Amino acid sequence: MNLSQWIHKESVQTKAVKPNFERIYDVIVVGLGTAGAVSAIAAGQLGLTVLGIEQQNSMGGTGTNGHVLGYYFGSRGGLFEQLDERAKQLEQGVYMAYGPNVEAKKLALEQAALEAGVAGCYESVVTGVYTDQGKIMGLRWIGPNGVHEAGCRVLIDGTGDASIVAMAGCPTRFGRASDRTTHAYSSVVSLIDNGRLKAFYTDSGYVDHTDAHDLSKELIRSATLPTHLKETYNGDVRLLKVAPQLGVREGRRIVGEQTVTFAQYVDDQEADKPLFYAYANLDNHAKDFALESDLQQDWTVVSGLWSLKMAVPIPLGALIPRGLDNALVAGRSLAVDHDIAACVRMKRDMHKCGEIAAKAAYLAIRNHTAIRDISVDELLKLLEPTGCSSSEKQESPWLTDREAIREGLSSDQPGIAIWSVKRLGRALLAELKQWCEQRQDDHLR
Amino acid sequence: MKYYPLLVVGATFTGIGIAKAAGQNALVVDSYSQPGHEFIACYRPGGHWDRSTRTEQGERLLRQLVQRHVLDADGRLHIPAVLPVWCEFIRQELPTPLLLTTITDIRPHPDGYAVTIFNVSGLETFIVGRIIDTTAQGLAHLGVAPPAVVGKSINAMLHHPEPAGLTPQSFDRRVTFARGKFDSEWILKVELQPSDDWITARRKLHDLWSARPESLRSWKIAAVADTFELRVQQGPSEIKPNWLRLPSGAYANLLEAFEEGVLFAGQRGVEHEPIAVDP
Repeated sequence: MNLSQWIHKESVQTKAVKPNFERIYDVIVVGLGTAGAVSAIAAGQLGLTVLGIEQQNSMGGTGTNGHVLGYYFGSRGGLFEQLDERAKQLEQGVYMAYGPNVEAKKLALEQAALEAGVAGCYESVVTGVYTDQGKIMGLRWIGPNGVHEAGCRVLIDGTGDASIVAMAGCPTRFGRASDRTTHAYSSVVSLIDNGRLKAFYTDSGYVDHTDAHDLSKELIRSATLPTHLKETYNGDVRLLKVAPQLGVREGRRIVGEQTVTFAQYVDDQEADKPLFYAYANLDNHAKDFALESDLQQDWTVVSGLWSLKMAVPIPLGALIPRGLDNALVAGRSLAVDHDIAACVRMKRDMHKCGEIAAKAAYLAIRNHTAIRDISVDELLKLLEPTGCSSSEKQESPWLTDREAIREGLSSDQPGIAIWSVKRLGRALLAELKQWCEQRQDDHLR
Repeated sequence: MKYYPLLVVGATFTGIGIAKAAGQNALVVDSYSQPGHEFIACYRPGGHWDRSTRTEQGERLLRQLVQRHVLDADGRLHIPAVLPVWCEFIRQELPTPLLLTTITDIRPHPDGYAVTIFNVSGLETFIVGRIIDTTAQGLAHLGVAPPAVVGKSINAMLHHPEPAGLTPQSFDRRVTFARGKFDSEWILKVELQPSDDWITARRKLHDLWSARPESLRSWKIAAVADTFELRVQQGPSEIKPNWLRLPSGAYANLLEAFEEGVLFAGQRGVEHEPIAVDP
């Protein structure tokens, strides 16, 4: 057995002496955030023994500690909707309403986790991973009461940064190809404006949140932005807090059993048996598209398709780190490329990933198989009761009819037509030349 | 291996005060994500604001708080707005503290202590000459007895739609209220047992406020503090040779805590530049 540790930004393996596991859990979930919280609850509800380890002092991650309260697209359906309903009930009469209130959501998640028998460790960080022959055998972590070790049958990495599987030595990707920069982050302020609770955020900058110095610098700098540091403060717009967790949009991404890419989406390459369709626009917050991929530049800048909603099929393989039999990631560290990560990251979809990871873990444990060998059909059945799975493929928006393309190109919103032309390649060359040369229609020219 | 003459545990007001006086010789680490959490993130406006400042650095901080209408003449503090002001102060005057950083090991070394930390960059070990722990939690996870807790509470910001002239009245011996700067800015404090964890604390706060009397029904919780208010016994006290405790949360307000740190470091002095030590 090896003990893997993260030392100076690298996984370092040493031969392990016998680990001191206090207990063997069916599932250990690290990171009880947007996805991990749902994973822990769902796994517990299935009767698995679950340990949750979280660096902060509450569950919910970006949606609670990060104060990103509402939802921005994502697919509906799943256990998270029951949890949100529970939060709304708790909110009533006690907390100011905001769909649902952060504190009510923290409570709802904790209540559900406790009822599901989840053992939780807050304010704890994982400092070591025990691995043996392609399996994660257990973890070492340090919390308020010192160092602990426990074993697991399945590990769910809900850190959003694949921190645990990276520590275990699995390959990962980070940022865009040109300069490793990830999507912009937001530092959210919570405030009362005209008697209503609000969360306010804009893009706060770029951060390499896998670098302690850069992360610390940005945590402090972002609190001094003009949106936060005012010339004078008054009670009309009353500041409540600067969220203690940055709204990081893109994490470290695993190299998975299957990788979902933007090129696959635009080429209509459908994954085999997708578990659900992530749904949003390519919500890249970049200010410097020249440094993004050619494909993304064509999409966003040339075609102006930034706001076009996409349904991106997510297969099980995107949750499985390559080389590990008993680990899954849940959350934004899915095996996706940088381009499509701007779409496959919305809270609803990440909640879904959490539920899927838990149910995949359940099947692997019950059937004594590697995660990659579980039956996807059986998994889809397990996801049905909460509505987590979705099979509705999006209707293709692309045009093939030449007259429709001509009409689209001459309209005020030619994006779909431009991209449709790109898809058809040289087939429309003659018409394009002709349309360019005509003088009657300025848009078309 | 890197050497720092001084390790300050806690990006607290006292910790930053010490680091300010120590300059480049100090490394500040904190397990939390925001500096000054022993007052700001726990919603502790503090009291005794009537004292005059004792240091030039304290005067600068006070001036910022007053100019930006964060602190008024009556000593009423808009505590959430202290964070941006405090972060700007740190940016102007100090090297960046290492946040979200856990100390995982401290052991004696011929030059002081070998300290291992863990954060997103991973594990790192360095040597320090001295340690000053300014946190209220201490380093219990390393087997070091924490400072004696005088009081612990979970605090929350309240909101009332028409707050003018209203003062919420306590209805339970565990409940007190503190006034912020604005009419609507009242802070609910629910006293806890020292051993209460976050799940227990949140439940107590929720249960108490759910059962509040009719007269308080219009007051709702707008936000709950992200750290506990921990009032602990005042330092300095020695933990081990060259390892002191000076908890920031022991002071009456954040300015006093900051100035105590500045004055403490000034009295003790930290003079050496970082030097390399053979691994």
